[in-house]
Amino acid sequence: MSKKEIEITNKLGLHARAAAKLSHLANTFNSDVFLIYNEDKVNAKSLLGILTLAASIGNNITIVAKGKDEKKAVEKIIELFENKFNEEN
Amino acid sequence: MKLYNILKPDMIKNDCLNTNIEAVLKEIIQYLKEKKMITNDKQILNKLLEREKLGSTSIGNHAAVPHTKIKGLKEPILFIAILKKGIQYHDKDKELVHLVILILSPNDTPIIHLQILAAAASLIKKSNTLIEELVSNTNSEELINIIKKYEIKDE
Repeated sequence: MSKKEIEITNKLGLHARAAAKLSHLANTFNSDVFLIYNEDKVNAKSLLGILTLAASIGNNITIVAKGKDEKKAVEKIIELFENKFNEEN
Repeated sequence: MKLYNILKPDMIKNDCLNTNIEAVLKEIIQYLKEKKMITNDKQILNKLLEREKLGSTSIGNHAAVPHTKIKGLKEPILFIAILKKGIQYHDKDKELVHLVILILSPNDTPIIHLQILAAAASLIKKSNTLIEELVSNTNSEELINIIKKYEIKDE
């Protein structure tokens, strides 16, 4: 299992476009990928699941992946967060 | 946040007969303009359509959440259109959209916008029978009751 926590730094948080990018990326991995925020754990491959979190700027999210490419999955997803979902460049 | 708490009876309709996304959104925006809830209807419609071009807001389970932010808006506007016949919302969609949840948010309240979006996603995620129940009802109060029933389920 691979796991890492990250703070959301893009202005709009996990809004629809960002959530779509995130679920799209998560779906490119073979591993199961989850997001944990407060008490909630959702499937990162599900757009609807991500949207139910209402996670916004300043909130911490934990990314958990389990499977063959778990390390790469966490790494790439962290990168997407760090790049602010490529929406503020 | 729950949708039924902020949804007003005159903001949910089951009588839209349009069969494409642009016409459906146009009809809703015109209705909001007639109710004097918005003024710049053309600009808002364009923004909604532009947003769809960036990536479809159809999010599965026969539902779509078209949305945009509007400068100067005092509070979010939520409108639900139920489409009995369903529409091909986006070229790539494998299923028809029967439930359109339109969200217009002030541009300076991203957290409230996320909360409404989350409430919509939670509702949509819950059940496919929701759509069946909604399309077979026309009374606004009854439609809100159905939404409420699903929103408070399993709590």
